[in-house]
Amino acid sequence: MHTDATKLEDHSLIEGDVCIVGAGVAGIAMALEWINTPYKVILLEGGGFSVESKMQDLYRGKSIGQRYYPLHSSRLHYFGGTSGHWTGFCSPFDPIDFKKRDWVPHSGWPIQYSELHPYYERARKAVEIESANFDFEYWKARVPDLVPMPLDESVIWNKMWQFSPPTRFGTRYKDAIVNAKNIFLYTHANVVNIETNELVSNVKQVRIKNFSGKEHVVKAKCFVMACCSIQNARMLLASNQQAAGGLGNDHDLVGRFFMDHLEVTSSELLMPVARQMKLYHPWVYSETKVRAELAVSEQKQAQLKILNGTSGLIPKEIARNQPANIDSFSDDAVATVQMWDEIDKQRQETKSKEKENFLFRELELFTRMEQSPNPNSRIQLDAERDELGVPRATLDWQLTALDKRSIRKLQQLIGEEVGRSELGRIRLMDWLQDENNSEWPATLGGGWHHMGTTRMADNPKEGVVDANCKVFGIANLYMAGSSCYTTSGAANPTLTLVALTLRLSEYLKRSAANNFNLDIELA
Amino acid sequence: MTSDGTKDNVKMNMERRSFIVVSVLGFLGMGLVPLIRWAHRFSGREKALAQPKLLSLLCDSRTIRMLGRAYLVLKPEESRCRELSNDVLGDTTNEVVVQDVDLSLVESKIEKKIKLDFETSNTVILKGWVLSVTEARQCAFFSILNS
Repeated sequence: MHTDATKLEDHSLIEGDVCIVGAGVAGIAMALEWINTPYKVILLEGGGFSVESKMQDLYRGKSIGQRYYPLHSSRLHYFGGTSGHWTGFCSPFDPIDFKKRDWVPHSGWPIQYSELHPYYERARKAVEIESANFDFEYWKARVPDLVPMPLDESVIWNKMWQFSPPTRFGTRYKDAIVNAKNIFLYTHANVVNIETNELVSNVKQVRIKNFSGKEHVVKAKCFVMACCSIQNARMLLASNQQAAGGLGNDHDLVGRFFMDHLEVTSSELLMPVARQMKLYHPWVYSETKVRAELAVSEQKQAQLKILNGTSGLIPKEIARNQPANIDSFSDDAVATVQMWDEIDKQRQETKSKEKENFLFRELELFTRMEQSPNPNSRIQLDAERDELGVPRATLDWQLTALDKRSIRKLQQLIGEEVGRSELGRIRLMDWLQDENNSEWPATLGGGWHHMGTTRMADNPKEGVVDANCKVFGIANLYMAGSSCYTTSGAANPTLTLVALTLRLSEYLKRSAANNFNLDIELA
Repeated sequence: MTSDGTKDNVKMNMERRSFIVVSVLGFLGMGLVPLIRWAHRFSGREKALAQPKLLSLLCDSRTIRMLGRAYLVLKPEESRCRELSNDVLGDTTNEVVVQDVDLSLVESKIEKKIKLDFETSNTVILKGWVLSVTEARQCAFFSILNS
């Protein structure tokens, strides 16, 4: 069922069992799980069904640290969220990503890979990829001409990626959500404040506003914030009427540990003879089903004390025509979505191209590196407010020496492996050549993967949410999505954030069956 | 007079020409011997020592020379040919191989050594190139021979 909140009578009261704030990938994935349950689920979306400049402007914010993409165009504020310009890259996190690593400060999730693994199968259905199996051998059996480079797997292994169509959650799941009898979707319902009881132990209600000037209140037994990493932190910090520092922020951790993947061209691979590189060939929209990147083994990460990371291989003739993402990303979100819509339409009509032989001898290595969790990399509130009166977010993206050392070591390791196997040689890009140089190149960008601002931990001194994504100290407030990530892993976050959301959903269903008393904390 | 004088002139010119030709040939002969010796000396062992095989397929001699110089800046103590050649060939069989001018034998030994370098992370980064230390020394040797 759908209601446009601008059409409601001013100061309406909306009530339900579960209130999900944000109808992006996480919010919709969760709402789908609750269809046909006996619970009334309120799904609040700030935007409408189409992306609008005015709505995107609510996401505008400053960036004061390492150069970053415009905050108002790197995420989308409408039904379906950022899946509206998602390219569909899917790969799971690795077991090491969840472990405590003594060489990575602030690493170690309170849950392990094995606890998330069962949810990947369900997550892959939501993002419409073929299999939850990402083993190279599995794919080799299906696509025999995927020829791997003869590298030692105990050093460098082939991390497989699958590609979602990509699923635009807004269009793909709109009917399912709107037609569900127990899901109540409200569009143009921007949460502007989360209000708790006096002891700040329970959320009573959230306040919503829109551009019509109307204001409403939503009451529920439990609240799930699924607004993206920047917005989740922003809303906790801005809801500071009952707690001066914001909700869940007794230890000044909300907004900290903002992470993205470090994406940058790092080296080139030169080979004396051309090789068949189909397995590694860069993703082609709507054509590539599966591909691999070179990943560093768990054992080598520990031995070299580096972060997790991968390198994709891009033939030079393709790479030379690709400007750096950070230089070419548009600040016009509406235009970007329109462009993708147009591409989506065109691909239906495109005939398959001539068969390529995928023979290449000179390639560039494009690194996708985990960012070390860093408390100084953070989201804060700005003095300026958006049109609905909420303080804007300011991003201070901060990188560390470990981040850069890890990229250099990864390239060196690949260089040693291609040397050992007599494939060719690796030459590092200029910015990586001097190990004592701590500067970053102008071409460094993130992957638009916002993570970690309400991180998961064992205790409130180290994180904002517990192993069940519940905000420490607040009995009925949960965070969904990649804001809960303790570490960022090397893989893109979408598949894992869906898996984590499905796990949260299952937990909340158990809680609902117990009348939401599973975790009630006594004030 | 005129005819006799002309004959004398012709004779003198011929003698001068012969002298020049013989001198040039002699000079060339004297010079060629060490040149041939030098070429012979570097045809086997030194050529192999100074020729990073795979790297030469990827870049030109100028780059190899540059990499060699970069290595010598990093390791100035290795800047003498004798030390370098011993280091490239390495182990206890050094003497046997050094005397051997069988190019393929020397090359094969060096290739094995390079592979082992990569396996054991005995590598060095020169101007961004991730190189085996052995082939970096080959570059250094090349730069010395071609300086």
